Amino acid sequence: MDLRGRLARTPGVVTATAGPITAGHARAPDERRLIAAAADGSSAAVEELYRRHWRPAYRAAYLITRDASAAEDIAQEALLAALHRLERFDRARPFAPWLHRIVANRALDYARARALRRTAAEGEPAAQDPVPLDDALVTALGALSLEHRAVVVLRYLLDYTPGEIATMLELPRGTINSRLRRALDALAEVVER
Amino acid sequence: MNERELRERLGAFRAPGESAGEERLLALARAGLPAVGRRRTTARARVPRVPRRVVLAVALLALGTAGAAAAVELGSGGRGRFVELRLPASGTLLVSASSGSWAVRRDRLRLLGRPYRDGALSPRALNAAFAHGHSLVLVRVANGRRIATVPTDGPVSLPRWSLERGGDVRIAFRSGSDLYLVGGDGVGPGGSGGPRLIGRSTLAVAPAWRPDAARRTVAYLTRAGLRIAEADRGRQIGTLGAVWRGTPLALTWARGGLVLQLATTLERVRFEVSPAGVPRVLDRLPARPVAGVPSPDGRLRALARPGRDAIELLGDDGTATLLPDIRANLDVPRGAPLRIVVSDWKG
Repeated sequence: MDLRGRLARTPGVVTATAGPITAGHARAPDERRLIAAAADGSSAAVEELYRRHWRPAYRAAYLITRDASAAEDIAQEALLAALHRLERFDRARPFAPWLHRIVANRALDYARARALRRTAAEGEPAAQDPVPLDDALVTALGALSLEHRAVVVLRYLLDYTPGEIATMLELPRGTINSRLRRALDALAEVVER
Repeated sequence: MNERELRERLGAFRAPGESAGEERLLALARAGLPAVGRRRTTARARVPRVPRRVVLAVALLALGTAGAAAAVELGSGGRGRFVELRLPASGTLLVSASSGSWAVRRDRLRLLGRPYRDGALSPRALNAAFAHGHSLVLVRVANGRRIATVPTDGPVSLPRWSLERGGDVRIAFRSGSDLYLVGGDGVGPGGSGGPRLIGRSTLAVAPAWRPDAARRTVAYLTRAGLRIAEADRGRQIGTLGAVWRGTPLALTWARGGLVLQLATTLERVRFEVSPAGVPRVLDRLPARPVAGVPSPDGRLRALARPGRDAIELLGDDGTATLLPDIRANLDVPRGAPLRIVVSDWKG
């Protein structure tokens, strides 16, 4: 029997599939029990949490940084950090926003630091060059500024509201709304060109 | 493009490498993250065993002085059996497995390299060197970032760091069958340029840096025999013919750099090496190790013998320590090649 089958027979653990991301912050009804099991030392629950949250976290980090290696580091670090702090986590609150806040801010920090390094060492290749993107939309996303890209990812990939994004990034809601508007206009121009 | 279309297209997006990254994360979790919650210890409370991942080769390098012990579960995925390792208080282990290369510290694991092979830690465990195709890759242990890539003409293998001397280190590594030298920053040993050629037609055995030498000296094997070279000057200072029997497995210094030990598939040969670097055969003992790797300081050598689960750690003072059931603990199939190096074991 595979892991999911055995998890399904484990009290307090209900399995989920890692399909397309439609609502990253939507909390599955069993997630609270899963988190409790993970905090109680269930390696199967930890693994299931990893499975559930890896892809959204990785995709978000990748779209913000446009660097597969950095995205893996960021998502991995965020998940490990979050799981290590489970006992301090308020289980009444959903897990995903907590995680995505870490991912988004770390990805922004990384991308800003990389831009600074490139400015300081102009002409030198970056330590990790971005993976070439071939999808038109993703290429268009890459043409946006870092700040605009991040809000688009949080809004349209992870499905957060502008208010939630404002809280995550510690920015005024009006700023988020204006960034979303401008980003959509820019994307439409590039994609429909 | 409207919001709905954007949401649909992003929802269908798949980032490159996400499946492989997920597997690496899960492997990392299964490799024994010790501090996620409270591990259940009773049989009643134990969760079902996670399917084992393939972890075929494990190399452990411990640096520094003895410190706190740590239990690290390697590759057994919740099996409830631990390999206890003595981690130096401020030290780091480098674990190379099929699922990646990790720096293991007392409080956390850090994935360092994904397709990288042949990891080696710098003397202070600040950096790690890896073979990656035709390149030597240097990675910062603290953050996993690649700090230098040294391209070469041939496939890179077996990098080894020298000890620090004058605040400086060197890395010897093979490219194809040639042995090269670079500085610890990936730049040529003179502070500029590329790798410096040290020797040709070398055998696939890691070069061994002589400890406590007045000169930076490295020993290596070629098809013609044993070679000892003064690395910074790129000149040979000692040679000896291929006097060994069997296939060479490991070369290591002992007794503060006065003795060089060669483990082959058939025997262990010890060479006495003069301060000037001239070797002569000291003695030879019959041995049939399946695989044997020396510790970085040359004090210990790990041997796995055919048909046995135990690992023998042989000290250069003649002591031997038997580690029972180690293959089972490491999830290594009986008879499979095993690479394990432990520089400090207080069992």
